[in-house]
Amino acid sequence: MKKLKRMKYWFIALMVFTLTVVIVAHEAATSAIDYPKKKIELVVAFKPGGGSDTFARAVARYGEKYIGAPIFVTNRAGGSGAIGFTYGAKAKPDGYVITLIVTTLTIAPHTTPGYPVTYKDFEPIALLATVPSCISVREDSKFKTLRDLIGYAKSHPGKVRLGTSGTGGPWHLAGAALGAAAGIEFSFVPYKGAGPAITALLGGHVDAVATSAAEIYPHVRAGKVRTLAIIAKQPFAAMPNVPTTISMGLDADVVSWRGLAAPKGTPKEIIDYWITAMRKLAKDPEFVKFMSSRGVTVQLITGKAFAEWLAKKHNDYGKIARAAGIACK
Amino acid sequence: MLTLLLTVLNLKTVLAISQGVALGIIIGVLPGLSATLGVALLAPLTFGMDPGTGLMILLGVYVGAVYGGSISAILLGIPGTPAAVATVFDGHPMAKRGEGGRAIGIATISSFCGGIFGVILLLLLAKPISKFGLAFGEREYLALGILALTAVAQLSGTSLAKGLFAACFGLFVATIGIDEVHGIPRFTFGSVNLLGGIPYIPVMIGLFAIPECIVNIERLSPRRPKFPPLEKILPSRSVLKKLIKPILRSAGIGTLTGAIPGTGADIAAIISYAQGKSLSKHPELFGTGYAEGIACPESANNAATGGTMIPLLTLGIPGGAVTAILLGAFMVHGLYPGPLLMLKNADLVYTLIIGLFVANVIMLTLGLSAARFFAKVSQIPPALFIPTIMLLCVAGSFSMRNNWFDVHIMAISGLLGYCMVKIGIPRAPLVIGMILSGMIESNLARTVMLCKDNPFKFFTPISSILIVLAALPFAKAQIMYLYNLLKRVM
Repeated sequence: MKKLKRMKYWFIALMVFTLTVVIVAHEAATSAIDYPKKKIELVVAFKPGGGSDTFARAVARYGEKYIGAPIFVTNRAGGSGAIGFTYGAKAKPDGYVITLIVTTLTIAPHTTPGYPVTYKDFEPIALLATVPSCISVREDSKFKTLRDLIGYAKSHPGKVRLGTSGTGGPWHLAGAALGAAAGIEFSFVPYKGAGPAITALLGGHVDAVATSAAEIYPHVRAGKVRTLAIIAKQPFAAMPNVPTTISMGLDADVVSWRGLAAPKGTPKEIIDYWITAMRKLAKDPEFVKFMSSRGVTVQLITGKAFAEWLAKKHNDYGKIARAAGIACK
Repeated sequence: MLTLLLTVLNLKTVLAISQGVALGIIIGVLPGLSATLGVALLAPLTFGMDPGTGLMILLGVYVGAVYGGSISAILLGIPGTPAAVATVFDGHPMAKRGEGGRAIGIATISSFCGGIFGVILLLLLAKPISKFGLAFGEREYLALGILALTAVAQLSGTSLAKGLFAACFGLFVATIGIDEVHGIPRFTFGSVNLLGGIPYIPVMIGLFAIPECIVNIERLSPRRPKFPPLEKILPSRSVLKKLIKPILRSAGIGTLTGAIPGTGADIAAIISYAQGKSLSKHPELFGTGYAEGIACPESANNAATGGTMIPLLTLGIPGGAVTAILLGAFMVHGLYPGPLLMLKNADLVYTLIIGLFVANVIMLTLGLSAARFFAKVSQIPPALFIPTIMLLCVAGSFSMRNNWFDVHIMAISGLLGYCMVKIGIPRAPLVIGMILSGMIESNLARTVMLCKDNPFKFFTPISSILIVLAALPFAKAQIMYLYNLLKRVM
C-alpha cells in the first residue's frame, strides 16, 4: 500500500513539473503576437537537391533565428510545381505552412493546359532573389557574339538548335522571347531540366542553350561555355562583361525569381512578421555570401509591392508566351 | 598521393565514412528509402562539416544504400532501392531455398568488386570515360533505352508474352503526367496529383512488398517454422572462380552506364542482368536462384557508383540522380565540380576517390559480418514481420514527396501486384518499363526531330553498337546456326 502511495505522489509531482514547464515555455515566447508557437513548414514544389530546394534550405537555415521558430523544408514535387503550389495555396492560413514560390508559378499557367494554381491563390510575403536567364554556346562554337548567332539564324531559319529545360518552362520562354525580339526561328530541343540541357550543349548535341545565369555560371568559370547575352534588363553580377539583350536593343526580359508566400487569408500580422524577418534575412551577411557563391542576387520586394510585381510578371510572361506561340490560352 | 592516403586513413575520417556506409545500408534495406532520398535528406546535415568529411559521409551513404537494397531484395523479395530490382529475380528464390546467407555473401562480394572496379576506373580513366559519356545524345540514349528494354525478355520467366504485356503497361503508366517534350498533360483527368505523374518507387514497393505479405498471410499455419541450419556466408572458392568473369564484365558495364549522364545504378543493373543472362553458359538457370544472377546486377550497380562520379568530377555534370544531389552539396561547400576542380582542388578530389575506396571496403566488412544477422530476419515469425513491412511501405512511400497520393499508389500497385502474382504475370518488367519510359520517349521524340529528313542519321557509332548488343541475344540462335553451317562448309 505504501508503494502505491509513493507512486501517486511521484505521479502528481511529475504532472506539476510538466505543467510548469509548459506554462513557462509558453511565457518565454517573445513575439508580441502569439506566433510562432511551433515549427513552420516551408514547402518546396521541387525535388530535393535542385536549385529551388537548396535556396529554400538556405532560407530555412539562416532565417530561423529571425523567425524565432524552427523551419523545416518539405519537398512536394511534381507537375512543374503544381503539386507543391496547390498544397501551399490550400493550406490552413495560420502561418505554419509557407510556400517558396518561383518563376514557374507565373509562367506555367500560360503554357501548361490545366495548370491549377496561379499567384492569385497566395498571399505574397516577399521576393527574395532573382537570377536572369541567358543564352550560351560552347567555348569552341562558331558564334562569338549574339549578333553572329542572330545573323546565322536569320539566314538558316529553324536550323539553330536551342536546348531548353522543358517545353513551357522559364528558359523555353526566355529563348522564345529572344527569338521573337530578334525575329529569328529557333529549333527548340526540350530536356528534363537545365542539367541535361547543359550536358547536351557540352556534348555538342545542341548549338546553344537558354538557362539561368546561375546554372550555367560554373561551366563558364571552367572555360567550357561562353554566354552570349543575358536575357534581362540588369547584367549578371558574376559575369559583368556579358551584354544584356535590352542594352542590345532587343526587348526580351525573363528572370528566374524566388520568393515566399502564405495561403490566401493569412492574418496581416503574420505576413508583416514574416516581412520584418525577411528584411533582416536579406541583410544577413552569411545568407548573402551563400547566395552570391551560387551566383544568386538577393533582391527584396515585400508585401503589396511584391503582389503588384507578381501581377506584372504574370501578365508580361503571358504576353511573351502568346507572342512566341507557346501559350495554351 | 601517399600523404593523402594517410590523411584519409585516420580514425576520424574512417569513422565518418563507416557511419555513412552503415546509415546507407539501413536506408537501402528499408523499402521506400532509396539512395537518392537518403543522400538528399542527409546532405543538408553535412553542410556544417568540412567539405572532405561531409562529402565522404555522403559517398558512404551512396555506396551503402546501393548495396543495402540487395539485402531486402534477397530476403524479402522487395527491392530496397530501384537498383536492386534485378537482384530479386535470383536472390529471393535462393533465400526461399534456405540459402539467404549465401546469397547475401555473393551480393556483398560482387558489390565490393564492382565498387572497387568503379573507383579504379574513376582514378585512372576518368577523362576518356567522361568523353564517352558526353558523346551520348538523343540517338545514343534511345539505343541505350532499347538495349535496357531487352532485359524484359530476360526477366519474363516462362512467358515472354506476359512479360511484354507487363513492360508495355509500365511504359504506358509512366506517360501519365505532363509530357516533357510538348508540355501537355496526359491522362491526368484534372487531378493535380496525376499532373505530377506516377512515381515508380511507390509502385515498385507496392508491386513487390504487398503480394509477399498477402502470400505469407495465406500460408500462415499454427505450426512454428523449422529453422534451416546456419549456413556459410562466404561462397566457396569454386563458386567465386566461376563468378570472376561475370563480375568483371558487369562492373565494366556498370561503370560505363553510370558515366552516361542521366543514367544511374538502376539502369546499370538492368542492362547488366540482361547481358549477363544472354552471355552466360547456363542462361536457363537465371531466375531459379543462380549465383550469377545475383552477381551481375550487384556488381554493376556498385560499379555505377564510381561511374556516376566520373562526369561529376571531370565535367561538373551529374551522372545520375544521386550525383545531382552531390553536385548541390559540392556547391554548398564552396566547390565547383568541373575541370577547374581537378586543377584547383586536386587534393580534395583524390581524397574523395580514396574515401570511395574505403567506403567499399567498409561495406564489405559490415556486409559480411552482419550478413548472418540479416539472414535471421527471414526467421522472424510472419505475424511480426508482415505488419512491420507494411508499415515501412507506407512510411517509405509517403516519405518521398510527403504526399498521401503516393501511398494510395503503393496500395493500388499492391493489389495489382497480387493479381499479377496469381495470374503469373512477371512484375519486374512493369517496373523496368516505368523506369525506362521517360528516357526512351523523350529521346525518341528528340531523335525524330533530328532525323525526320533522313532516318539513317540515327546510326552513329555508339547507337549502332548498342542496337547490335540489343539484337544479339535474339539473333544468337540464327548466328549460331550460320556459324555451324559455315564450319561444315569450310
